[in-house]
Order: sequence, then structure tokens, then C-alpha cells
Amino acid sequence: MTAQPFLEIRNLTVELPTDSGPIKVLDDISLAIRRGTTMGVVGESGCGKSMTALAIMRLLPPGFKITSGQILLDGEDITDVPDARMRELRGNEISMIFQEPMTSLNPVFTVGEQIAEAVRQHQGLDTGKAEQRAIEMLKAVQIPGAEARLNSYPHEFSGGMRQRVMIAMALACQPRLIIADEPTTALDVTVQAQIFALMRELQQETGTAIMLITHDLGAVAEMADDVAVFYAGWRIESGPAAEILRRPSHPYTSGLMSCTPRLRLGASAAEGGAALREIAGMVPQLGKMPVGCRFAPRCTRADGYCRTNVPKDVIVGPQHTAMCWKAEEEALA
Amino acid sequence: MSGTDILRVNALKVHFDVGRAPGGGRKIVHAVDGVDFTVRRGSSFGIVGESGSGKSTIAQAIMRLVPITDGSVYLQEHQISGLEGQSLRDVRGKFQMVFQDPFSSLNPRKKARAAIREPLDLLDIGEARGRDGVAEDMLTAVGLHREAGRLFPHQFSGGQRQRLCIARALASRPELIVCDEPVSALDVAIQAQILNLLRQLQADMGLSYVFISHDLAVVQYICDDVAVMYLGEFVETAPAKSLFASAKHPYTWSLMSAALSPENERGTLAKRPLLGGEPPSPTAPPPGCRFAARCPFATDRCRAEKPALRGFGGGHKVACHYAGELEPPLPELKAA
Repeated sequence: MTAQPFLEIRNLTVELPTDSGPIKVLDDISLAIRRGTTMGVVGESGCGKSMTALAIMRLLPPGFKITSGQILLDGEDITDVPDARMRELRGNEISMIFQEPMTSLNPVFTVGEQIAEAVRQHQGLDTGKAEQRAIEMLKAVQIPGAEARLNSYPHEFSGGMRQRVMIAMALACQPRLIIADEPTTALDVTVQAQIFALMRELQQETGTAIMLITHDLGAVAEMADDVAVFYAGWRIESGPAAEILRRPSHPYTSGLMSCTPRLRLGASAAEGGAALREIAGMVPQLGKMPVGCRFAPRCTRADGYCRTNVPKDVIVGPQHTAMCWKAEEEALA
Repeated sequence: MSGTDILRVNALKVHFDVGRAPGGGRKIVHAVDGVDFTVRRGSSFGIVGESGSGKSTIAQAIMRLVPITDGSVYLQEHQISGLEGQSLRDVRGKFQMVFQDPFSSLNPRKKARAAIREPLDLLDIGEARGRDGVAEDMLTAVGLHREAGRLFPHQFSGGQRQRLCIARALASRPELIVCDEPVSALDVAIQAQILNLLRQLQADMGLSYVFISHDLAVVQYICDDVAVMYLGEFVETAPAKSLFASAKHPYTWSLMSAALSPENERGTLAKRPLLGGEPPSPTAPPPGCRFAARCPFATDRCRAEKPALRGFGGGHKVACHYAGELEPPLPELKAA
């Protein structure tokens, strides 16, 4: 990679202290997002993908602490900048879209007030200009009758419309990175398609980078340039999305691929589809992590060595890395 | 009803009165507005559609959890839409339900074994002494350990909780299970486990399912017959093979166009014709075709005259004036 990435996470570890010692909820995570591109972050619930987003935004829940590693935003180490600086960065440089558009909007303020608040806070616009900006943003996210809808309350919008409002708020200060945490999971497929189309269009216009957190490999295929796969607090594979979806290196990634049901249309629908492969067992509990590879207990390829030795993140292809002893063997072979 | 049918739903309507309308009269939500279908014994009938289409209301109407406005529901020879009180309880054991959210559908204060035997206690099925044994058998049937019966719901993961809900639904030895989005709240890896479990239980016990989902790929994996629902009505209904091979309704096409796949090229959706807008309000459904306002093919006729479900052979029915004449937007469907 030649250009410096816009966001770079280096060896980030986040711990939660407990009575029985600290639990690493993120363990030595590294990833980089290039300017104007989309990074898909995939994994099951509890794998640490949302925790990474919260660490970047400095919104970790009480008790959780970054214990090592760095978060670099455009070269600036933001891991422990003062709160005042962090507040400048939030909104202006990075903003976030959450999964639940209903709970992340304030029900007692109109959507216009909420979008305007963001630009007044972060960009110091006066009330009139802020309202103008709110109208522009509602138009940008294709809400019909933007001027009139400015005075509507969140409950007067449908789920898809609310998510558009969230996107409008996130984009209002023209951030260079948007973190979208499962932005379409609560929405219908047809509305999801609209939101994805909108995000791509806005990305092309504004050149913002997107970190798309999702559990859906289909969403990664649709949206992402690069992908990082998380498992139990580890980032177990990363690289170009097209490459990883075609030739996954880590057995967990290929497991996820094979347990996703595929829609078969036209001629292929007449044949009975193959049975879905399963990944046996389940994600290990925090604080009860296996000693060696954390995926070993569920892995069909694991051997004694995997169960006792923590795998290293090795290069398995161009810009493609995986944390797997077997993938390393294959890369060397 | 023929001997092979387990469930028969005739002209089912479920309307909800939600208060006074602004111009006088009442505001009525037409949640389900006249649907007919039958479920063959041992098969799975899928209902797909967007949120608000009424698919969950059908599930609740079959289960008698919401009042039925009009129409009838037969489970074998029992007209369950007309039963009340004890006579409804007498057949209750034959049809059970699995809900979407395994977190809110288990009582946090009841241990797993007690939760699973509760239907047996309530419906007074079998000897009281034997019920713990039945509950434990059900735990093993869904792939959990017998000993897991002593744990509380919070001690299980999401996937295990959904297994508990399935075990509870199985306890009364039902013939029909209504599954309302049973895997939507689960991670993909766990979703695959639960889908395979449902298929295996069906093969082992000859169960019939009404399977409600918004995910076409999941429906294709589980179901033998499928109905596509829009704003309280079926717009297309067919054997699954026929539907996925040659869907004919523009709304079905738009659901198919919006589906994501890990194999898709980046930006596939952007190249497809996507559905704009959102469904109109079910309180005042439009007079003609309910999909007309969002349909790229709609004409004045569609806006004025309501299309009925018409047969296209092999049990494939479509409610569209122009079905069979329109060009499908997806290349896979054109070839078929």
C-alpha cells in the first residue's frame, strides 16, 4: 500500500478488568482504511467489531480501557488526545451511524433541530445557516419535501427514513470517515438496497472513507473494497474483499461463507440446493478463551499444535493476511 | 380438505380498529386482507414480505393470538378459527409456535426444563410424573444436553435459547409448527445450525411448518411452497421451485433484486433496478393493485382495478394484470 491510510489501527488491545483478572475484548487488532474506500468489518456478535468502532470514537463503555496499541487518524495519534480534541474530531473528521435509527434519534426534538445541532456544535454555524445545512442534507439523502420534513419528529418517519436522517446527521459536517455499525440490519431488504445505494453515491461525491460493520458477507461483497474478519477479539483475516470472498484463507472465513444461504434463481432453482454447512459449536466466552488458536475448538482443520500455540498474522497473498497455522503452511508451500 | 393437507386457511382477514378516523368513522388497519392457502402434511409453507406486510399477523391468527375478523382456519378436521376455551385448548397441543426473539420469548425465571414442560402442564398432556422425562427428551432432540434442563435461560447463548424454544414447541408433539422469523435474530453460523435442525426435525417427526421470513434465501432453503405478501395480500404464490425459477410478479422481482450474496460483484445493487419508496399505509389501502404506487410497470388500469390471483399452471398463481407479459429485470429469470 503506497498512500498512507486515513485510519490506521496498530496492535490495539482493549481490556475489561474483572475480579478474576483483565479480559481482553480486543487483542492486538491491526487494520487500515484507505481514503475514500470502504472497509467491511465482519464477525459474529461479541467478536469485537463494534468494540473497535467504539474504541476509535472513544466511546468505550465504562470500565473498558485501551491498554496498548495506537489509533492513527490521518497520521495523528488519537489514542489519548485530550477530550476537547476528541470532540473536534467526532463529527468533523469521524462520525458514526448506529444500527437502531429509532433509539439513536432523540424523540423530543425535530429531525431538523438534531441535524442543525450537529453543525452548530462542530462547525460553529449560526441557527439560520445550520437550518439551511439541515435542508441540504435531507435533500442529499433523498427525503422528499425536505423543507417540510425539517419540522417532523422521528416517530413521524419510517425506519428507512430515520436511517436516512441518521446518515444526513453523520454527513452534515463532511467527515472523512464514517463508521456505520450494522446500518441496515433493522431494515427491510428493499430499503437496505436503497440505503447502500445512497451510501455509495454519497461516498463518490464526498470521498469519505467508510468502515462498514456487518455480520452479512453479502453486504461486504456489495460495498467493501477491503475486509477485516473478526473472531473472539482477534482480527483473524484481512485483505481485499474480492480476494477474500473468492479465496478465503482462514477456516473461519470459509466457514462463514459456506453457512450463508444463497438465493438460487432461474435454472439453478430447479435443483435441490446443497445442505448448508455448519460451523460446529459456538464462540468461546470472554474470559474462557482457549490457549492456542481461539477458533481451534470449532475448526475442522485444527491439530494439537493449533490448540496450544497462538497463530501469528501472516501474509498469505497481496495485502492479504490471516491468523492461522494452516494458512501459513499453505502460504509457505 | 384432502387427507394430505394439515392446515387450510380460507379468505382470512385480520383487521385492527385503531381509533377514530379524522373525517369521522373508524381507522382500520387491514393487516391481513383475504388470504387463502393450504399446507401439505410434512411440508413447509413460507411467507415472505417486508415488515408491515402482515406475515406475522397471519402467524398470530393461526395461533389464535389475535382475533380473526373473517375467514376460517382448519387444522385437519378442526376449525380452529371457531374454537374457544377448553375446546381450543384440546387441540392447542397439535399446533405450536416458535418466535423470532429467543431472548424475550423465554421466562427468565423459569429453568429450561420447566419452560419446556409448561405446555404439557397447561394442556394436561401425559402423566405429570413423566413430563420432566419428556422435557429432557426434547432437549436431546434439539441437540442440547439433558442436564441443560437445570439451567436458566440467561445461561444459554442466543442459538441455544432458540433450541430451547423449539424444544418447548415440540413438547406437546405438535403436527404443525408456526415459525415466525426463527433465525433473524441469530448470527449466520448459528442460523445455519438452526435451519438444519428444523429440516432434520421435519424429516424425523414428519412436522409441517408455516415459516415466516423476510429472507428469500432462507425461505428457499426451508420451504416447499412460498407465498409473497404485500400489504395484507398474497401477490404471488407457488411451489418454491417454480417461484424461484420463474417469478412473475414485479414485487417478487424487486425482493429478488435487493437480495445480497457474497458472490456478487461490488456494486451489483447499483446496476439493478431497485424499488423506491416504502409500502403505503395499511389503514387506507389503495383501490387498485396495492403495489401500483411502487411498481415500475403500473398503468392506469393497475391503479383502478384490483388484480386477482390467476393461475399459471403447476400451482403458480400471480396477482398482476400483466403477469407473464412483463420482462423480468433479472437475467437469471429471463432464461427460465
